[in-house]
Amino acid sequence: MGKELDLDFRSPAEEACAVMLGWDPMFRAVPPPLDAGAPALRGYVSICLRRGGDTRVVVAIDSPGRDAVAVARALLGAPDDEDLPPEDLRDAFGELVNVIGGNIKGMIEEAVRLSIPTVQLNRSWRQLDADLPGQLLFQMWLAHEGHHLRMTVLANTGTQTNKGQHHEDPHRR
Amino acid sequence: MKILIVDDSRAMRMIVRRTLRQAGYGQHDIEEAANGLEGYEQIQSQKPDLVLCDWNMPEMTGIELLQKLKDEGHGVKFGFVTSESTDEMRSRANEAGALFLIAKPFTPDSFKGALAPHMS
Repeated sequence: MGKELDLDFRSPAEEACAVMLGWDPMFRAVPPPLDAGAPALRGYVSICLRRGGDTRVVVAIDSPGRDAVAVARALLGAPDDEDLPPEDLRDAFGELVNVIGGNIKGMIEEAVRLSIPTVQLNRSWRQLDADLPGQLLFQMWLAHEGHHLRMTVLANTGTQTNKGQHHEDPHRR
Repeated sequence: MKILIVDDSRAMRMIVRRTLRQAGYGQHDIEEAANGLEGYEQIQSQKPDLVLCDWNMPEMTGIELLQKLKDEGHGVKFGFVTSESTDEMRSRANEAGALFLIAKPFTPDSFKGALAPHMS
């Protein structure tokens, strides 16, 4: 499972941000400064592969809290001053990662199933899923008008690292 | 026409509703269901003319819903709006009687292209 995962992971995220959020995303190779006090919204979907067992690719997105709110507002068409309840934030974030993950699944020949999105506010990756795959295939930041969204693609051991930018182990956050 | 949107994401139901409006179908009666099972019950009780259905949902998936409708001889017009659109899925959808499969992310134009032939 190496060469077949040397894929263009960037395009599905950029397309989803452009169409669903109205973002004209600017790719960031260097991570933006984060507000350490802001809660983060994190979500992921799992793509199970044909070889069975726990062989999977995980597509994850996360944002600092204020940026996650901006993402949800853009996706829901809500005004800038509207307060969104946590369930709307989770739902919007989940749908965004579901669309990105669904499009990535279509690029992977071995893919057989896409999970329902898992999204939580202010939880570490390990709290979300203690068994997240450990190998980082790809990571990038997308930015739009001061708001940031990070996409990460993980896989089980045995896959080759893709040409992603700014590799950082999300488990450490 | 009465259109039923079946999707477990409230956000996506809102987006589909908004896109229908942007595509020029805002005058139609639009209802919502949160999963395949709820969709099935609403199809029985409200008899929509067109169902726009997600594929991957808890309780009952979109393809399971369509298959159940087909097995029961239900003739409601049915199309998928889904984040997955592999050739295999398109083939399964087509075999089960789906009229179209719109891939997410979608635009008002992609809605127009898929829905226009079936909106009379």
